[in-house]
Amino acid sequence: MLTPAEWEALRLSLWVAGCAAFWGMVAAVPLAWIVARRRFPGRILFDALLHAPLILPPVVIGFVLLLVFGTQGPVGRWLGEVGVQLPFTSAGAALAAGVSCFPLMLRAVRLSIEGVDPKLEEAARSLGAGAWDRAFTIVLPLAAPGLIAGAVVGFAAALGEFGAVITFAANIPGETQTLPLAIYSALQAPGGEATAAKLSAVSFAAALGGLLLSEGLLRWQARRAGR
Amino acid sequence: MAGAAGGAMIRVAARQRLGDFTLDVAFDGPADGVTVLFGPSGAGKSATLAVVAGLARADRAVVAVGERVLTDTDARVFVPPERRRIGIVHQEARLFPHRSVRANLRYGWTRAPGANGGERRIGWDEAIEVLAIGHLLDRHPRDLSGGERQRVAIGRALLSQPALLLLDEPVSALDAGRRAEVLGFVAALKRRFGLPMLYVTHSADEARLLGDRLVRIEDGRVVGQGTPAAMLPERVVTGEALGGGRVRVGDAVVEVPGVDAVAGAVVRVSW
Repeated sequence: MLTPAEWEALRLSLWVAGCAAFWGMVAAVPLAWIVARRRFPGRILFDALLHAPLILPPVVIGFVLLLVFGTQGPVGRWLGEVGVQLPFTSAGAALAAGVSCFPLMLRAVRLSIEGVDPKLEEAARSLGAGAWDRAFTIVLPLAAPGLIAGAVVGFAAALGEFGAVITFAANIPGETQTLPLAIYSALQAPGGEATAAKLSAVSFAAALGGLLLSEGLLRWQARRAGR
Repeated sequence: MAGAAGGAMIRVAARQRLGDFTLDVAFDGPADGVTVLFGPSGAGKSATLAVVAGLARADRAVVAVGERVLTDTDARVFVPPERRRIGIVHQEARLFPHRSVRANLRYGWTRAPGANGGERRIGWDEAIEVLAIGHLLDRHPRDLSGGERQRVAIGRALLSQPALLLLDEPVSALDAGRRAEVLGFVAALKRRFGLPMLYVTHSADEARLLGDRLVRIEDGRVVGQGTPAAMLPERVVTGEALGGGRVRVGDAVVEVPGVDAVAGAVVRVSW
């Protein structure tokens, strides 16, 4: 049904989107916490900067990543010394997709943290729980549905990310050619419409699978939480 | 008077400006009894509790439980709420919705001093028995009635081995039947554990029932302290019901709307 190259694009897409969602969430939880709970000068600007990928054209995100993580960039040079290269690699594709979709995850996590009743945290505090203790036993478990939703939205969006990925990681089959890039390549070739249509259907199925998975996770979580 | 016998073991003084409202209170309470903070809504009773619990920072404050000084703004002492060992029960139970009753109770229990094999003053079985919540352990907070929720909240606070228990109108959100039920458990708690408590209420009945000492707070200030009996004298007379809402007391006949005792019955009227 799918050619080996198409399977490869699907596998790569899932891997890239999975990494993007995972690491995106790892960054989104503490940053959303700061934005939701801390009051400090420059908070609005900080929040705006975190949301920048949402309003920047994806190609600009890719370009900025090249400036920072490229072999001549400040971080890229340092990474090169320890033997890590990001541009034109799968890891780089995941980075580009993760940065592009980060604001979506941040927003979901932030709303879910803000939705936890501070009185419950106060109660935990009077029962002897310190800040980290409260975060892991009260706030994050109660915010779990929002965290799951954030991860899934991030995954689905990363699965479709095109501009930032092709700019930063290029379109290398088997390395950085995810489904949207493969669809684009197919459309560039004469008579590639059938392949493009097939890959589009695969993209749709993958995104749908993610949504169904999240629905299942939410139900499981709700049952576990006794709601 | 327990306050005089036990000495002043709870010391509270707080001064705080909150917009137009100024809180300026100072009072003492006994070490093994219930100090009632009594006054109308908005008088500053809950604000005082927040200062005691360390959840609000006053401009100037002293809070001490026995020898332990928890807040002393002049000496720059401020123990964070999680290390004060002060249990709090509010009007709403604030149970953790994602945890069973047992897990709610264990939350404070496992974090209490003495959790690592040391001696706990208040035993698990004992607290559960006094509050009669043993049959609720495997339930979830959403499946409890209002009165059961409050009992679990009291148990949770109690099992965290507090040095002081704060009760902020713990029965005000309940209907009359549940209120009597929970008040009975609070009274039992007082007899059984001899724990110092600050009890906030605007109900004279609750103050008389539970209080060893009463601090009357109005408009952010303490306007009187003493025993509940002296501070809230209850006037009771015995008379004979005449029917139709009239009662003969001595030589006089008074109108008492609401008396529906049959004519000739002996009734006690308080006001």
